[in-house]
Amino acid sequence: MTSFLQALIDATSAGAVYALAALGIGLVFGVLRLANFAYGEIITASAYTLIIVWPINPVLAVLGAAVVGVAVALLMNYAVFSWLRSQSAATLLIASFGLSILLQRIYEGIFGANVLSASVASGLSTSVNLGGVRLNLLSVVTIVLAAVLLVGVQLFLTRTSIGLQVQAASADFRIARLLGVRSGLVIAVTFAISGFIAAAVAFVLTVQSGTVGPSFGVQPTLFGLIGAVIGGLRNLRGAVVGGFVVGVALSLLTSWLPPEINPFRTAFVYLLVIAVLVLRPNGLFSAGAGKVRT
Amino acid sequence: MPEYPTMPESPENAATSSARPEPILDVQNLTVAYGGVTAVAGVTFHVGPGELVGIIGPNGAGKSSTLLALAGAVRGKADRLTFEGTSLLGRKPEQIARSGFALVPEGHHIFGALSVSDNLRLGEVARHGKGRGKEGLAATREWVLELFPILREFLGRPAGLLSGGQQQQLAIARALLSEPRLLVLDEPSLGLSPTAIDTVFEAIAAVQRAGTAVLLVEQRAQQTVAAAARTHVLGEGRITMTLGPADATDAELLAKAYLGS
Repeated sequence: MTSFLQALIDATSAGAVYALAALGIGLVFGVLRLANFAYGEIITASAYTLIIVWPINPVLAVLGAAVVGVAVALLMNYAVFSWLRSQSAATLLIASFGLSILLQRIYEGIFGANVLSASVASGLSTSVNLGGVRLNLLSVVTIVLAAVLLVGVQLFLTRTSIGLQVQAASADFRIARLLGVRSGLVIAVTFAISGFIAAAVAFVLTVQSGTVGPSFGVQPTLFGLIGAVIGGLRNLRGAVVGGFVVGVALSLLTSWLPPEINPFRTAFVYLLVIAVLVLRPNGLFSAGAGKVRT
Repeated sequence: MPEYPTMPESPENAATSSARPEPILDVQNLTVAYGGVTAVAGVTFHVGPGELVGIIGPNGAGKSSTLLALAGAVRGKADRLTFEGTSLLGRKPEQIARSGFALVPEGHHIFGALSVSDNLRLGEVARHGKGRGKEGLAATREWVLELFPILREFLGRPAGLLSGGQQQQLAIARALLSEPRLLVLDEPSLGLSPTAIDTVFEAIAAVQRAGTAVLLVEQRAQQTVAAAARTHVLGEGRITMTLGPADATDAELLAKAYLGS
């Protein structure tokens, strides 16, 4: 029972990480129809900041990671994607592939191909005893962090004027512009938020691993993207739930698969993706008529 | 400055020509082409302050292309294309919307997943940084909801659940919340029931009475010609005829306007 609860908390925590990644990817997809593969390199930039600055000053490291995440996201927008806005989704996708590889090579050039290590927030790696159940503190912090960010983004989208404009632009960019919604501003704000979320993902993952290399952000981005596709990229809420499902599935497979087939756990996740896409090509939460969108 | 053939001026009263108000919208020789296909082939018209001007014509005559070019949504070429004296050529749709020009596009395009109230809030985006302040906004909201009482009932409801006629009312209300000086409507009666059409036409008349200029593109020739100061008939990208309110009862003329002479 205890191990079950522990596995459940760990699974929820893993789900929370990929839900955040899916949220960051889904927000940008909403306004730009861009499935940004280079999202991982925003995560990596924040992770490098955390690993390098943490031994000097932890507070500065966290603030720096957030600033770097937002800055790299904005830079991507202004340097690359804002020039391609009128191009097809395929062009944007390929551009993001290229950008992802380019940034990985740049990181390799600056920081080397090997991983850098530092113990980030090692206090969170301990377990706390809660009524006989030993809980990993980081799992709890991850869940709380994700919940705060999800609620924050939701409030931003529904309660603020600019958030409402992001929703309008996601639903129909052309009509939004006819209503006076500034396309450049809305896209920049969306990139900035997705960069901030990437920094949060980087924080959780660097505490977990204590290391960062040039391709650090690739895996969480891939799983976040897979989650977003499963949930329906055009439906932000669905994308978040999709990311969560992928994280939970990965974590449970890790816990429960027999050791001899455990290395193949990601194959099972891809199997799940194929099954979902065959049965519901527009995602699990596409809601038939396509009317319900957030 | 361009001169208008409607009012010839003798040299001695040229100095007082400012008595005739400057057109709020001035379109001279507008052309729109998609690739090699010409949709609008040199259209010239104007809308005076507070005026209601109509454009009618069959499908494919270039009506929507004309409006989209005015709103900056498609690229057009023109000898002159000004709104309140400022050129609209090369400007972004959001800049044009924020300058007091509101387009209600064909098919109303409300945001179905958002509430009626949020749709209306989006209408206020173009008003940002100008307009009549907070009290003015409250007054505008109140006026718009009086114009379309049905919307007040459904403020919290997802806009996608409204009927077609209600969605059209929402689209017009949304545009009015930007406090435009020119309201441009693209076939607001399309697909509506006769009762809903009457509601929309009454609202348009009320908007004009409140002092807002209106450019109305319609297929319903008779109602449009009756309401507008001038109605231009568009055919194959050109103005083929211009009608006045008195022509509204001339069924033969209206039929000819549509079928082409």
